[in-house]
Amino acid sequence: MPAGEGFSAEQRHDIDRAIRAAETVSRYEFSVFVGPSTGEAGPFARRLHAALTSPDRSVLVFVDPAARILEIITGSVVRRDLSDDAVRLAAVAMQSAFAQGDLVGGIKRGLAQLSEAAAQPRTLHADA
Amino acid sequence: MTEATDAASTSKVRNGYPACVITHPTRTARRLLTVVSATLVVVLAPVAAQAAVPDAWDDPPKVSGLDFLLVLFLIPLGIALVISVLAALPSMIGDKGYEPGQSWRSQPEWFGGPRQGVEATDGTDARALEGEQGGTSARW
Repeated sequence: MPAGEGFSAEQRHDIDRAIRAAETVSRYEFSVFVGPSTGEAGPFARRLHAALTSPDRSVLVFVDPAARILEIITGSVVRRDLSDDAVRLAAVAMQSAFAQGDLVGGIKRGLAQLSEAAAQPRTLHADA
Repeated sequence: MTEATDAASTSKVRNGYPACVITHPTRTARRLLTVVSATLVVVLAPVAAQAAVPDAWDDPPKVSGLDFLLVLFLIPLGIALVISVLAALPSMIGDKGYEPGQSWRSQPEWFGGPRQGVEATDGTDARALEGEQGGTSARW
Protein backbone atom coordinates (compact mmCIF):
# COMPACT_ATOMS: atom_id res chain seq x y z
CA MET A 1 0.00 0.00 0.00
CA PRO A 2 1.66 3.26 -1.07
CA ALA A 3 2.05 5.94 1.57
CA GLY A 4 -0.66 8.52 1.95
CA GLU A 5 -3.56 6.38 0.81
CA GLY A 6 -4.88 4.73 3.92
CA PHE A 7 -4.61 5.83 7.52
CA SER A 8 -1.19 6.38 9.02
CA ALA A 9 -0.22 4.54 12.19
CA GLU A 10 -0.83 7.71 14.15
CA GLN A 11 -4.32 8.22 12.70
CA ARG A 12 -5.17 4.58 13.42
CA HIS A 13 -3.98 5.01 16.97
CA ASP A 14 -6.13 8.15 17.32
CA ILE A 15 -9.25 6.29 16.18
CA ASP A 16 -8.50 3.31 18.43
CA ARG A 17 -8.10 5.61 21.40
CA ALA A 18 -11.35 7.44 20.57
CA ILE A 19 -13.17 4.09 20.43
CA ARG A 20 -11.75 3.02 23.77
CA ALA A 21 -12.67 6.35 25.34
CA ALA A 22 -16.20 6.11 23.98
CA GLU A 23 -16.59 2.57 25.37
CA THR A 24 -15.30 3.67 28.76
CA VAL A 25 -17.70 6.61 28.90
CA SER A 26 -20.84 4.83 27.71
CA ARG A 27 -20.27 1.17 28.63
CA TYR A 28 -21.36 0.20 25.12
CA GLU A 29 -19.25 -1.15 22.31
CA PHE A 30 -18.22 1.01 19.39
CA SER A 31 -16.96 0.00 16.00
CA VAL A 32 -15.85 2.14 13.07
CA PHE A 33 -15.77 0.97 9.47
CA VAL A 34 -14.05 3.14 6.88
CA GLY A 35 -14.24 2.06 3.28
CA PRO A 36 -16.56 1.38 0.38
CA SER A 37 -19.70 -0.66 0.80
CA THR A 38 -20.55 -3.68 -1.31
CA GLY A 39 -24.02 -2.90 -2.50
CA GLU A 40 -26.18 -0.28 -0.89
CA ALA A 41 -24.62 1.51 2.07
CA GLY A 42 -27.55 1.20 4.50
CA PRO A 43 -28.08 -2.57 4.32
CA PHE A 44 -24.31 -3.12 4.19
CA ALA A 45 -23.81 -1.12 7.39
CA ARG A 46 -26.65 -3.09 9.01
CA ARG A 47 -24.97 -6.33 8.07
CA LEU A 48 -21.66 -5.10 9.48
CA HIS A 49 -23.44 -4.22 12.70
CA ALA A 50 -25.09 -7.64 12.84
CA ALA A 51 -21.68 -9.29 12.46
CA LEU A 52 -20.35 -7.64 15.62
CA THR A 53 -19.85 -9.74 18.74
CA SER A 54 -22.84 -8.32 20.60
CA PRO A 55 -24.87 -6.28 18.13
CA ASP A 56 -27.51 -5.32 20.71
CA ARG A 57 -24.98 -3.47 22.81
CA SER A 58 -22.96 -2.03 19.92
CA VAL A 59 -22.82 1.12 17.84
CA LEU A 60 -21.44 0.89 14.34
CA VAL A 61 -20.19 3.95 12.52
CA PHE A 62 -19.86 3.39 8.79
CA VAL A 63 -17.98 6.00 6.74
CA ASP A 64 -17.45 5.80 3.01
CA PRO A 65 -15.07 8.70 2.24
CA ALA A 66 -15.20 8.13 -1.50
CA ALA A 67 -19.00 8.10 -1.78
CA ARG A 68 -19.37 10.62 1.10
CA ILE A 69 -21.83 8.43 2.94
CA LEU A 70 -22.18 8.16 6.70
CA GLU A 71 -24.27 5.51 8.46
CA ILE A 72 -24.63 5.08 12.19
CA ILE A 73 -26.31 1.88 13.39
CA THR A 74 -27.27 1.32 17.00
CA GLY A 75 -28.27 -1.95 18.65
CA SER A 76 -31.56 -2.59 20.42
CA VAL A 77 -30.11 -2.18 23.92
CA VAL A 78 -28.09 0.90 23.01
CA ARG A 79 -31.20 2.48 21.56
CA ARG A 80 -32.75 2.74 24.99
CA ASP A 81 -30.03 5.18 26.00
CA LEU A 82 -29.05 6.57 22.65
CA SER A 83 -32.06 7.96 20.83
CA ASP A 84 -32.08 8.34 17.09
CA ASP A 85 -32.33 12.10 17.58
CA ALA A 86 -29.08 12.10 19.54
CA VAL A 87 -27.52 9.97 16.80
CA ARG A 88 -28.69 12.48 14.22
CA LEU A 89 -27.03 15.30 16.17
CA ALA A 90 -23.76 13.39 16.24
CA ALA A 91 -24.13 12.69 12.53
CA VAL A 92 -24.47 16.42 11.84
CA ALA A 93 -21.29 17.13 13.80
CA MET A 94 -19.47 14.44 11.84
CA GLN A 95 -20.89 15.69 8.56
CA SER A 96 -19.51 19.18 9.12
CA ALA A 97 -16.07 17.82 9.97
CA PHE A 98 -16.08 15.50 6.95
CA ALA A 99 -17.18 18.34 4.69
CA GLN A 100 -14.04 20.19 5.76
CA GLY A 101 -11.99 17.14 4.83
CA ASP A 102 -11.24 16.19 8.43
CA LEU A 103 -11.93 12.45 8.34
CA VAL A 104 -10.17 11.40 11.52
CA GLY A 105 -11.36 14.46 13.45
CA GLY A 106 -14.94 13.81 12.37
CA ILE A 107 -14.80 10.19 13.51
CA LYS A 108 -13.32 11.21 16.87
CA ARG A 109 -15.89 13.95 17.38
CA GLY A 110 -18.76 11.64 16.43
CA LEU A 111 -17.62 8.89 18.79
CA ALA A 112 -17.25 11.37 21.63
CA GLN A 113 -20.69 12.82 21.05
CA LEU A 114 -22.38 9.41 20.67
CA SER A 115 -20.82 8.09 23.87
CA GLU A 116 -21.71 11.25 25.80
CA ALA A 117 -25.31 10.95 24.66
CA ALA A 118 -25.44 7.23 25.46
CA ALA A 119 -23.96 7.76 28.91
CA GLN A 120 -26.67 10.14 30.06
CA PRO A 121 -28.77 8.47 32.72
CA ARG A 122 -32.33 7.82 31.67
CA THR A 123 -34.92 9.98 33.27
CA LEU A 124 -37.28 7.51 34.87
CA HIS A 125 -39.69 10.10 36.21
CA ALA A 126 -41.58 11.69 33.36
CA ASP A 127 -43.69 14.04 35.46
CA ALA A 128 -41.09 16.33 36.94
CA MET B 1 22.60 64.62 -55.85
CA THR B 2 22.52 61.94 -58.48
CA GLU B 3 25.21 60.03 -56.56
CA ALA B 4 23.07 60.08 -53.44
CA THR B 5 20.04 58.69 -55.22
CA ASP B 6 22.24 56.07 -56.86
CA ALA B 7 23.63 55.01 -53.55
CA ALA B 8 20.13 54.88 -52.10
CA SER B 9 18.83 52.76 -54.95
CA THR B 10 21.74 50.31 -54.71
CA SER B 11 21.32 49.93 -50.98
CA LYS B 12 17.62 49.39 -51.55
CA VAL B 13 18.44 46.63 -53.95
CA ARG B 14 20.98 45.11 -51.58
CA ASN B 15 19.05 44.83 -48.37
CA GLY B 16 15.48 44.84 -49.56
CA TYR B 17 14.48 47.76 -47.28
CA PRO B 18 13.25 51.13 -48.58
CA ALA B 19 16.02 53.70 -48.91
CA CYS B 20 14.91 55.61 -45.83
CA VAL B 21 15.76 52.68 -43.54
CA ILE B 22 19.35 53.05 -42.45
CA THR B 23 21.05 49.74 -41.84
CA HIS B 24 24.32 49.26 -40.03
CA PRO B 25 26.16 46.37 -41.59
CA THR B 26 29.08 46.95 -39.20
CA ARG B 27 26.92 46.47 -36.10
CA THR B 28 27.18 42.66 -36.12
CA ALA B 29 30.93 42.78 -36.53
CA ARG B 30 31.21 45.30 -33.70
CA ARG B 31 29.06 43.15 -31.44
CA LEU B 32 31.16 40.09 -32.21
CA LEU B 33 34.32 42.03 -31.43
CA THR B 34 32.89 43.14 -28.08
CA VAL B 35 31.98 39.61 -27.09
CA VAL B 36 35.33 38.16 -28.13
CA SER B 37 37.36 40.84 -26.39
CA ALA B 38 35.29 40.61 -23.23
CA THR B 39 35.76 36.84 -23.17
CA LEU B 40 39.48 37.20 -23.71
CA VAL B 41 39.77 39.76 -20.93
CA VAL B 42 37.86 37.55 -18.50
CA VAL B 43 39.80 34.42 -19.42
CA LEU B 44 43.23 35.94 -19.70
CA ALA B 45 43.11 38.49 -16.89
CA PRO B 46 43.85 35.87 -14.18
CA VAL B 47 46.81 34.68 -16.22
CA ALA B 48 48.09 38.24 -16.40
CA ALA B 49 47.57 38.59 -12.65
CA GLN B 50 49.38 35.34 -12.03
CA ALA B 51 52.26 36.54 -14.07
CA ALA B 52 52.54 39.60 -11.89
CA VAL B 53 53.46 37.77 -8.65
CA PRO B 54 56.35 39.76 -7.18
CA ASP B 55 59.71 38.03 -6.89
CA ALA B 56 59.82 38.56 -3.15
CA TRP B 57 56.71 36.41 -2.65
CA ASP B 58 56.72 32.71 -2.14
CA ASP B 59 55.86 30.70 -5.18
CA PRO B 60 52.12 29.96 -5.18
CA PRO B 61 51.52 26.24 -4.77
CA LYS B 62 50.77 24.38 -7.92
CA VAL B 63 47.07 23.64 -8.29
CA SER B 64 46.20 20.88 -10.70
CA GLY B 65 43.08 21.06 -12.78
CA LEU B 66 41.57 18.18 -10.83
CA ASP B 67 42.12 19.92 -7.47
CA PHE B 68 40.58 23.06 -8.89
CA LEU B 69 37.49 21.15 -10.03
CA LEU B 70 37.27 19.29 -6.75
CA VAL B 71 37.44 22.31 -4.47
CA LEU B 72 35.40 24.77 -6.48
CA PHE B 73 32.74 22.51 -7.97
CA LEU B 74 32.58 18.94 -6.68
CA ILE B 75 32.72 19.67 -2.95
CA PRO B 76 30.14 22.51 -3.03
CA LEU B 77 27.87 20.46 -5.26
CA GLY B 78 28.24 17.50 -2.94
CA ILE B 79 27.36 19.60 0.09
CA ALA B 80 24.35 21.06 -1.71
CA LEU B 81 23.21 17.56 -2.67
CA VAL B 82 23.52 16.25 0.88
CA ILE B 83 21.58 19.23 2.26
CA SER B 84 18.77 18.84 -0.29
CA VAL B 85 18.48 15.11 0.43
CA LEU B 86 18.37 15.79 4.17
CA ALA B 87 15.70 18.43 3.63
CA ALA B 88 13.55 16.16 1.47
CA LEU B 89 14.00 13.07 3.66
CA PRO B 90 11.21 13.62 6.21
CA SER B 91 8.52 14.03 3.57
CA MET B 92 9.80 10.96 1.73
CA ILE B 93 9.75 8.55 4.67
CA GLY B 94 6.97 10.14 6.74
CA ASP B 95 3.66 8.35 6.28
CA LYS B 96 1.21 11.22 6.41
CA GLY B 97 -1.78 8.93 6.13
CA TYR B 98 -5.10 9.95 4.73
CA GLU B 99 -5.10 13.62 3.81
CA PRO B 100 -8.13 15.81 3.22
CA GLY B 101 -9.32 15.87 -0.35
CA GLN B 102 -7.78 12.55 -1.32
CA SER B 103 -10.03 9.84 -2.56
CA TRP B 104 -10.02 6.71 -0.43
CA ARG B 105 -8.09 4.15 -2.43
CA SER B 106 -6.94 2.02 0.44
CA GLN B 107 -8.33 -1.24 1.78
CA PRO B 108 -11.39 -0.80 3.98
CA GLU B 109 -10.55 -0.58 7.66
CA TRP B 110 -12.73 -1.88 10.43
CA PHE B 111 -11.90 -0.69 13.92
CA GLY B 112 -13.33 -2.87 16.65
CA GLY B 113 -14.81 -5.29 14.17
CA PRO B 114 -14.65 -9.08 14.12
CA ARG B 115 -11.33 -10.67 13.38
CA GLN B 116 -12.38 -12.07 10.00
CA GLY B 117 -13.17 -8.58 8.76
CA VAL B 118 -15.82 -7.99 6.14
CA GLU B 119 -16.07 -11.76 5.45
CA ALA B 120 -17.74 -12.07 8.85
CA THR B 121 -20.84 -10.44 7.36
CA ASP B 122 -21.40 -13.38 5.02
CA GLY B 123 -22.87 -15.58 7.74
CA THR B 124 -24.92 -12.91 9.41
CA ASP B 125 -28.56 -12.31 8.83
CA ALA B 126 -29.32 -8.63 9.21
CA ARG B 127 -33.01 -9.40 8.80
CA ALA B 128 -33.00 -11.07 12.19
CA LEU B 129 -32.27 -7.66 13.64
CA GLU B 130 -34.71 -5.86 11.39
CA GLY B 131 -36.63 -3.24 13.32
CA GLU B 132 -34.35 -3.56 16.32
CA GLN B 133 -31.49 -1.56 14.88
CA GLY B 134 -31.64 2.19 15.17
CA GLY B 135 -29.49 4.96 13.86
CA THR B 136 -29.34 7.37 11.00
CA SER B 137 -27.69 7.94 7.67
CA ALA B 138 -26.22 11.09 6.22
CA ARG B 139 -24.25 12.40 3.29
CA TRP B 140 -21.83 15.26 2.99
